[in-house]
Amino acid sequence: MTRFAPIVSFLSVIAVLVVLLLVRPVSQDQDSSEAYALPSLPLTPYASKQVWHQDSLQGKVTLLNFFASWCMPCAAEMPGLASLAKKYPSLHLTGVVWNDDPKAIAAFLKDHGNPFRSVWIDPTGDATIALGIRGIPESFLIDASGKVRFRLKGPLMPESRVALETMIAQLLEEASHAP
Amino acid sequence: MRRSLITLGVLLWSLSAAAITLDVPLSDPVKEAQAQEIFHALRCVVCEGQSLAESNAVLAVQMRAHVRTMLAEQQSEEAILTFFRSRYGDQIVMEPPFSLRTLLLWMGPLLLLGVGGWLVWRRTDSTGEA
Repeated sequence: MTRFAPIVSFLSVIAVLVVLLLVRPVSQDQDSSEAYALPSLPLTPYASKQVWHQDSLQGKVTLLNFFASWCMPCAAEMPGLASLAKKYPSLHLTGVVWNDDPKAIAAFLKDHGNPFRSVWIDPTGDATIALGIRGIPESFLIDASGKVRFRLKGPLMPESRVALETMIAQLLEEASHAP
Repeated sequence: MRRSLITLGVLLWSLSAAAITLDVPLSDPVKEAQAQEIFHALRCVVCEGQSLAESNAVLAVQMRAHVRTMLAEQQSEEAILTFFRSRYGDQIVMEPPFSLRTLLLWMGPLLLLGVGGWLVWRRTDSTGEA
């Protein structure tokens, strides 16, 4: 048995190092650790003549969801987003389209439903980059003062929904007490 | 089925055309050389081990356009790298800075070599004694 002790010790050290390198904190997928100001997002309107005014987010609790018609997880989370919109009528659910064709978006929203109050386009990817997005779907919960308070990487899943809803309720509560 | 494939083809073509449109070199050769230097210093966040310069992923193309825009706005190379690190973390830099957070990354191989060497030495030593 002692013959194998050095090999076992060596493999244990490697295993510990691999675990330390690979294990990511949960906060990377659902990040509510730190509030930060929403960076300036150069968004253009989708199917409307509205102009994106970031100041208009002030006083509202907004869930900014980045999606695309070719993104299957985005399609899968649409019913979940719709039910959030229904459950929290004062939540401003806002869609941002990344890397897509407006015609394909129209068909997507027709097929999967449109849970958004408004939909915007990130034509150059600058908004996506400004928010440090690596892949879609990704959602950002913004409080009434315009700060990002919760970030959800990936689609809305039952586990992540609990954390997101807790934060939505908290931010709506905060907004109702805001002067 | 055929119609869906044609639609998908048109969509992919339009997306790649949009990506190519974004990848336009700067007219100033000095600035473009600077841009190329930055592309090699930054990692493609959606690829495996590729720099921004090597990747054709849409996000990489958009990031290259973003770098060029920042350079055209007279922002320094340092400011651009700081911007990307603030958005994507130290992992976006091809050579992560030496800090407490990246200590394991830098020292891991040396540590493994040291531990491995020590174990081999111990084993050889004990075999010699026997």
